[in-house]
Amino acid sequence: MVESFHEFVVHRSAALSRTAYLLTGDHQLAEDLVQTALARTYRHWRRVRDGNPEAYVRRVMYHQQVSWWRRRRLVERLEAEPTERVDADHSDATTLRLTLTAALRQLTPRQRAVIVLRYYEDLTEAQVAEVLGCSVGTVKRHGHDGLRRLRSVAPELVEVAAQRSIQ
Amino acid sequence: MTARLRDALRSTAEGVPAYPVYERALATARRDRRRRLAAAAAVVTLLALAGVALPLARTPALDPAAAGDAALPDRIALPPIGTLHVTDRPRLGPASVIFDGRAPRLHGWNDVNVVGVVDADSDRYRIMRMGGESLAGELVHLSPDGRYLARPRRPGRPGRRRHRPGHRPHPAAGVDRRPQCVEHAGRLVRRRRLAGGPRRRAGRVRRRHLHHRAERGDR
Repeated sequence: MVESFHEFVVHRSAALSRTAYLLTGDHQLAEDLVQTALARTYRHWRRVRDGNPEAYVRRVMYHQQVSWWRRRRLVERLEAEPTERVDADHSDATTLRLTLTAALRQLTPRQRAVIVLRYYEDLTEAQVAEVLGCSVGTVKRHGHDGLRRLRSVAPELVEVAAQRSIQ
Repeated sequence: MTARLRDALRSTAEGVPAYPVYERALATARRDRRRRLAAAAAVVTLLALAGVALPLARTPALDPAAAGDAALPDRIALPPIGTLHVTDRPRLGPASVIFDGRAPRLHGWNDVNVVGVVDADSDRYRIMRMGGESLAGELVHLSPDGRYLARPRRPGRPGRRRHRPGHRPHPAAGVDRRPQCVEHAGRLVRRRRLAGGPRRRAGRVRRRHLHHRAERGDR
């Protein structure tokens, strides 16, 4: 049974909203991103409904997020220190979430997309490259740079890999 | 190494509500569709207008040559004093020859030059006064059918010629200190320096230059 566009939005908007928020770090921008991606999907609904509409929407979202014109619209101010400090009386989950939100702001849109695809969507590097339309080497470079920046901003998020000493 | 990062991403995502964007997404899609249709309609309209305007704006096709019964004068004389202007009535029919020269009768006041026009079917003359430097056969041209004259848009600015269809022949400018030019049916048939003077013949059209006349057997 082929679901209608309305049914698709009702069923998948929650998951799409979560991904959009991780990509943008802002609820309004995330809402705008989901809306734009769904509008574009609706335009091609007859073609994509028989395949995997959600994958199409996600692909549109990632491309929109890293496109040059959207980057111009998103005037992000990169700061050396996280703007939101964590109070001591928050729970560990809240602390972790706020730390992540502040740390993700320090990444470029493409680095952020790679991090979300790799560690939230659990895609392989090859799959990430296919979604973003770039090479695996580019994905590795952005992933490496993103992790290094996260490690410098929020060391508690990314553990340092164990290294054997040379003997 | 990235376990905490994965946990943090999932923890953060769990707190994100589902955005109610269905209606706005539809509105956005429909607005984009209207804009695309409007843009396509604008392009089609522009193309249609260009298809209509370009043929109107382009240079008209060459006029056909005059009919075979047109005559060419054996001799060309200075226009008599009081010769009518080409715009005077009765109208002169298609012209066969235009000419200019150094004669005073072809050079008016205030550097107004005069081009003589000869009727194609009779020995009637007309003149046309023209400001600035105008050479018959060089700056002023007679159309092949003898109905139009092309002349510079502004006096003294050779090279910017404008063909003015619909006008009667514009007899043109005489040029002093220049060779006389005689043009017939779009062909420069005579160019010779003449000594101007009253009642002096302004020139003679040599028959050997008019091959088409000989072929027709006229005169």
